[in-house]
Amino acid sequence: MSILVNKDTRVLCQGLTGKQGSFHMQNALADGTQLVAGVTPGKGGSEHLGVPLFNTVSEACLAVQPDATIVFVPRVNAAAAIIEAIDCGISLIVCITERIPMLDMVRVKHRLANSQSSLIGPNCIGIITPEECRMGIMPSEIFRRGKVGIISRSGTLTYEAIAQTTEQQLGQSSCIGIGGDLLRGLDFVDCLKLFNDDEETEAIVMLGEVGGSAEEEAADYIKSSRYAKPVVAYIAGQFAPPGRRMGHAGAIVQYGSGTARAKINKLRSAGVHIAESPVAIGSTVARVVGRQK
Amino acid sequence: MNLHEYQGKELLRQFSVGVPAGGVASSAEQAKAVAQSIGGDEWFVKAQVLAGARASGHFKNAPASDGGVRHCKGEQAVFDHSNAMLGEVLFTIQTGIDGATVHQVYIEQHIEVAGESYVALLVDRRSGCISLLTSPDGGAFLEQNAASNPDSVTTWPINLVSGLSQDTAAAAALSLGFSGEAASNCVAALSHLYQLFIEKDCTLIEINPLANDHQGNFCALDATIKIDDNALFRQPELNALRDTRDLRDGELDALKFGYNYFKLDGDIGCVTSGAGMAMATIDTIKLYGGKPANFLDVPPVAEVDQFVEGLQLVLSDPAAKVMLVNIFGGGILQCDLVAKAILVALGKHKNTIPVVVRLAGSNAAEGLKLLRDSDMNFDFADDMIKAAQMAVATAEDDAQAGKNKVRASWWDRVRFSRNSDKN
Repeated sequence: MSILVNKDTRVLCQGLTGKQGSFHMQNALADGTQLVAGVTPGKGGSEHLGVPLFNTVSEACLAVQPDATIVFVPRVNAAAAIIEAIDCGISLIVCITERIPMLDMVRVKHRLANSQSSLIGPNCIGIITPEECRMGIMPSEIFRRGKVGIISRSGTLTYEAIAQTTEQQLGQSSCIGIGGDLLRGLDFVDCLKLFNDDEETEAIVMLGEVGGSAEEEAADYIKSSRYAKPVVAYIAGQFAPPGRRMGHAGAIVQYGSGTARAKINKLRSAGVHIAESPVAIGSTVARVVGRQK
Repeated sequence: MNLHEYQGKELLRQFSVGVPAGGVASSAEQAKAVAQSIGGDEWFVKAQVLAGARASGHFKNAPASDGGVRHCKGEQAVFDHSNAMLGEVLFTIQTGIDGATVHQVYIEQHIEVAGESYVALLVDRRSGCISLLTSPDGGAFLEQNAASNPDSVTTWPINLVSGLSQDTAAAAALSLGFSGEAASNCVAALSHLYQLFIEKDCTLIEINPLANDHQGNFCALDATIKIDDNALFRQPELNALRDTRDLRDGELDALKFGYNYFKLDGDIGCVTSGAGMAMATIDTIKLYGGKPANFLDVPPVAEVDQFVEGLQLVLSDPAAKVMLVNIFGGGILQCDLVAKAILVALGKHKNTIPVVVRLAGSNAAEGLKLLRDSDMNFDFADDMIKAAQMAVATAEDDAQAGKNKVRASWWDRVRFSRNSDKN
């Protein structure tokens, strides 16, 4: 069944004519994604990658009624692009752009709270339902449709987990990169709920990092809801020096909290299976899923 | 981006938040001159380092010293204490084991204080809002007080669209124990701090303490301000304030290239793409007893030259005895591009160190072929664990060979002299 996106999802792309947008959406089209239009201010009326271009999201929505939008707009205007999509009532917004100013995201979060839209990202690899819809930048050749739901704060580290679960013949139902920023849209708990309701998903992999408390919140949710499906987690940054920003604005250990060890302990006490090494993610899932049967 | 206290206080002045008279100095003579221009006969001399808890810290060269914040009576004391601090390394619970070098001191007017509050503005991840934090127990013992009495710190979420409302600010002032004119002044100070936060793209403003006198006037005795790195493009004046003096070799270059790179204390140079991958690589090296020389996250790049820059950061690091390249290609970053970049970079560096390569994902086969067909030697690993193990073993061998080389040359000399004796 998968979550959020499938072969019927009509996808709009904001920033389609830019270098990033063009490159990744060309690949997405090859994967069967239903791209219906692009938005680039000033290029309305023309075409790109075989779809019509519009000046605004509003015009695009009137013409093609997209279900979702993927934002490749550069960071100076990315938040405005997300808000434009929220204001047009698009229910799923995926923002790939990294390094969006924090206060811009505060504005976005405020708008989201009073809307019907869900945001994935920013600063993320996007979401994919293998063989159906790719709203993101992940290389689709490593995926295989299957039974594991993946939720990740990381980018390329996610590909390791994908390759391993493919190799284990387990495959993936859907894979969501929730992104590396402090302020983001859907988080671990939101995605765990979605995967819980998805019949196709039999196990979930969480890829976390130091910083913030999203993994701890997930542990609380898994415990209190008596989460029905097995969860495997790998947490990066066990040896992250405190106070140093390791790439992700969200990945800063401060005041002794948000350490990888603390997250691992909390997840473990909630019954989550911990992959101690990044190459053991697939095998841990296989072992756990095997046990379920 | 962290600002020094003196930079933070300059911003507070610009936004009409009271601060005691003060000035920054890079020499003891300058410090004395600043004290003279402020007037009076009592001042504080404060070490300017990008870390807190200065007062309870100690200096490397004088472990029993008075720390990084000193009360001085008389201009000579200002001179002497400035002299004692400048150029020295200060350790506090926030500087880390390397400590921080004091390049400047801030000389500040000593003022009479009736009370000390704690006020902070930051972005709260969970709510996605800017939050105002206040505590009536401001000052040096804030953390202990907050730990033993969590209710002493109040959090006031702020709606970005409507801003810090008069009602919220008034309630905060009341909770800090102020009424009448003092409460109005407190509200004004909070409003100005909020204005500063949103106009200058701050991620943190911490005033500890926000002091008041008996007349209800407010003064920020300390200021810790952090600016959002992602917003510096629209804050050019702030961008110019960055203190790069304590950046280690390579970190300044990395800043220019826009790569996330910083030095660690080991001998295994790491090149990865993806912050999570970089962290996982470091974790794996440490799990196998190795010591990473750096953290490096090369963003997905489409040009060979751009990736070469990343490799050179590691190859130019004298501490790196082996380089580990761990790449999962996909999307824009392809493994054959990485392979080409490795060959270019090694071609430029004469004293090449052993290189362990792990390539997976897009065009991995092409990339590996390019490396195998070249006339350079590489250790190839199938996965991250094997790559880490190889790198750790190579680094250990190098350390051992370093010892052996010394022994060998001594033995060679002995043999040679014995042979020449025979002749």
